Order: sequence, then structure tokens, then C-alpha cells
Amino acid sequence: MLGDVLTVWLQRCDAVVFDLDKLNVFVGLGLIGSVMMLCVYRARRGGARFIRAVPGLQAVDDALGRAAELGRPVLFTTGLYGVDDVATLAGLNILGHLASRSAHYDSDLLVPCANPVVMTVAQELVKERLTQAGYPERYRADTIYFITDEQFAYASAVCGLMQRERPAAAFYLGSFAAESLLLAEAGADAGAIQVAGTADVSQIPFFIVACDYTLIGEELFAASAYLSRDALLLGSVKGQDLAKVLIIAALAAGVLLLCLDQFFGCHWGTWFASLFTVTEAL
Amino acid sequence: MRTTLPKILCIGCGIIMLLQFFVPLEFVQRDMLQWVNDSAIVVATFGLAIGLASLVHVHSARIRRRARGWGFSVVTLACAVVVAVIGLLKSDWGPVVAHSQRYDILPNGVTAGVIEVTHTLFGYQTETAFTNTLAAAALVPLQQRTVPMFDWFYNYIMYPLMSTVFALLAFYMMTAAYRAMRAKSWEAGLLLAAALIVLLGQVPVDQFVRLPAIDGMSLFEWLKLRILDYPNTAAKRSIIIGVALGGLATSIKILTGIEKPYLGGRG
Repeated sequence: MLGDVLTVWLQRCDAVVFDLDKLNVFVGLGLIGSVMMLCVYRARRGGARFIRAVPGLQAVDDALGRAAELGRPVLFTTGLYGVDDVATLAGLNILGHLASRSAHYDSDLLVPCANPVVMTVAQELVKERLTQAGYPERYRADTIYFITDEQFAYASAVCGLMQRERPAAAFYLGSFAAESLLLAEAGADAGAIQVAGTADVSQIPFFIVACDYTLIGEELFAASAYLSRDALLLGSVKGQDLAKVLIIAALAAGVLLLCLDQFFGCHWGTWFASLFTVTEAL
Repeated sequence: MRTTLPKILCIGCGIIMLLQFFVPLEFVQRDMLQWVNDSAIVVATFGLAIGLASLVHVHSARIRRRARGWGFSVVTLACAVVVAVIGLLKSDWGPVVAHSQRYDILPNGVTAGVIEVTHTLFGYQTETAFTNTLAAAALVPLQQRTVPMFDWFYNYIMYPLMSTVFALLAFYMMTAAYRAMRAKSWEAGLLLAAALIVLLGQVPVDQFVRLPAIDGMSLFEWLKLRILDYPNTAAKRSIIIGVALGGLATSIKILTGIEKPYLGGRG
């Protein structure tokens, strides 16, 4: 209905300024975005701020404390990808918290980077967080450095670093490919407490078997809210959960309607499924 | 200004990327997207210079301090210099490491490309790729050129080194599988059972042991497909939906300025 009205209106405009085949994507994006912003607004006004315990994030302080006790460094990597990757950005958000906490525990933080832009952002982020935490003198640019953007050259360099420096804690939070298991096994061999998190479904099993704690999928994106307890960030996590409830409701409705199609020969399920179909690949 | 301009640029570029998905106008689809992509290439190029500076700074400091493993830093810097110099050479400069000749074969009027490469450095033997050996007699050289030394280094030094590291994964997978498949709890036991069924489904067990067939497949292959198609796909999809929502939430937080990792968290 809405699509027909818009088509007529746009035909009058004599120019196609909106791809109507993607109207459902636009509506879905707007709906989920609105739910999230509403939750952020509520959180700003002092709404519910509960977030369930995430074992991998609860272990962060233990891992940093252990590094301080052993006098060994902490290793952090966001993986191979650049700042255009949303998981890398989520990893960088966590790096800020780790930097201030490791400074508090007086531990060295090593951040070998596979991307020079990520390295620059990481340096700025750590410098800013250390200044905010009251440890500006703890910032050392040479601990956040570029290695190479070649996948396995990077993996061997980080494995070698772990063999030499024997970090007490290793954090792999970002986007990873086949190098995930190489890094995690090298970290296990060095005796580090390992916390990993990635959005890549095919790499999660490798981290689960080789690391002590793994943030699965969306937990990586919620980590900065969990660690900072910032009201706005917690609000956005709440929004994510509400959006997930909407998606589960849509899935349940789709299953029910498709079952009704089978039993009564109607086409409600097919019509409902067509609402979520995108003609052009995303 | 130090924080406002990056915020404006970030939000502006985000809006352009959104627009190019929904607005089919040529100006948006081609020109604006091209501008954003070109800007990303410019930033990446400057980033490379910063990365190189960081590499030289960190490793030269390690050599100066005689830090533990400083010999590796010497090798790293030497390799960086050698590869950079080779990369800057023109393809016909420096020692000839290989020749390549391109031919076109014309069997019954059909044209097909053939590349013949003759390596001259370190005694590599001739490699010839024929797409049609019957027509080899009709080879007519069209082009003869010297293979750039950079390509030779990449193909015969860098690539084998990377393949070697990649091959280590097989051993790491075995040790990881050994750790994962210890039935310490009932969940781990369930995982072990599922893994064993999938492993048996991957190999032709029915050639050695007589097993019932279901839907034209051996028992373990049928079970493997059921495990992969239903519980495994359901679990993967739930993670994918969560990741998509998490990614969307992070994008919205960055676009609205709630989270600013690109500004070092300030602003």
C-alpha cells in the first residue's frame, strides 16, 4: 500500500530518487534505529541499566592483575582489517578500557597492528584514555606499532612476539580470518590468559577451543558498554535486545503463517515472507 | 575544530554510504561513492607512509637498545629496504630473473592465450602452460617481456613462506580438536558425539563397513547433513542475527556520535 502511494508520488516527480525495491530494508533500518535511539534516550533519563554478566569481560581485570603479578606484558590485537570494519571499531573501543586498566595495574600493553590507520587510531585512543585516567606518562608510542598487512606474515610476527615476550594476558578482539587459531595457539603456548571476540562465525569455534574466554558475536559489540557502564552505551545494548525481540517475533509469525498456508491453502505466509525479500543482493 | 571536523566528515561519509544504497540516481551511485572510495584510497596511502615510519622507528630503536631479539629487527629492516628497492625498479631494470612470452594459438580459428615463462635466476626450469597442446605447432609469439623482479620475489619467496605458515594450521587444528573433544561434561560429550558423526560422514566409511543407506546416502553422511543443516545452521543464524544487530547498533552509535573510537574516545 505504502509502496503504491510512493510509486505514484515519485512518478509525478518525474525522477526516481528512491529505490522502492529496498523500501522494506529502509523501513526495517528505521524501525530498529528508532528502537535503539528510544532506548538511548530512556537510558539518558535514568532508565534501566542492567546488563547480564559476560564471563569473558568479567575476566578482564583478573587477566590484567595476573599480568601485573607476573611482571609480564598484556597483548592486544584487533586483527587484520581496517577501521571500515565494524568489529575492528568494537575492538578499539575495548582497547581504550584495557589501556586505562593496564596502566592502573602498571602493566605494559603491546598492540601490534596489521593496518597503519588502525595503529594511528589505537595510539590516539590509548593516549587519550591514559590522560583521562591520570597516567599520561605511561603512554609509549612504540608499544603500539605497525607490523605488516600480509596475513600470515602478521600472524608469524605476533606468534614470535608472544614467544619472546611471554605475555600474561592476550586479547584478540576484532576481525580475524585463518590466523585466529595460529595466534590463539601461540598465546596458549606462552601461558597467557586469553580473551577473544569476533563477529566472524567461522572463526568463533577456533577461539572457543583455544582461548579461556570467548565473546560470541554480539557480545563483542556490547563489551564497551559493559566495561564502561556508560548510560548511553547501555541504552543502545538494551535497544539491540529489543530489536532482537522484534526479529524473533517476526520469525515466529512467519513460521506460524507458513504453517497456516500448508494447512488451509492460503497465502498469508508467502505474503509475509515477501515483505522481507530484497530483490537486489545486499 | 579538532573534534568537530572529523565528526562532520564521519557522519557525512556515513550518510553518503547509506544514500548510495537507497537512491538510484547516477550522481549518488557513481560520483559520490567514487569520491568516498577515492578518499579512502588517499587515507590508506598516507596510512602506509605512517606504518612504514612506525616500522622503521620501532625496529631501529630495538637495534639501538640491543633489545632481546634485536637480530630479528635487523632482518626485518633489511628485508623492507630490499623489497622497497626492488618494487621501485622498472620491470626492465636490474638483473633478469625471468622471461615470459605470450602466444596466441589458432586451432580452427579459435584463439586461446598461452604464457610461457622461462626463469633464469637460481636455475629454475622452464614452465610452460599450454591450453591446447595439439595447436602448439601453430604458436606465434605476440609479446616478449621481462618478468619484474618484484613479482619473482613475491611468487618464489613471499608466497612459499606464507604457505608454510598457513600449513601449520593443520597441526594447530589437531591440537585444538584434541582439547575440544574431551568429554568432561555432558555438553562436551554431546559436542564430541556430533563431531565424530560429522567426521565419519566426511569419509567413505560404508566402503569398509556395511551400513544402512538412507535417501541414497550412507548412514553417517545422512546424519552429518542433518546435524549441519538443522542445529548447526540454527546456531549459526542466531549468531549472525546478533552480529548484524550489534554491527547496526555500533554504526548508529558512531553516526550519532555516542561512540567515537576514531577520535580516541574524546569529543
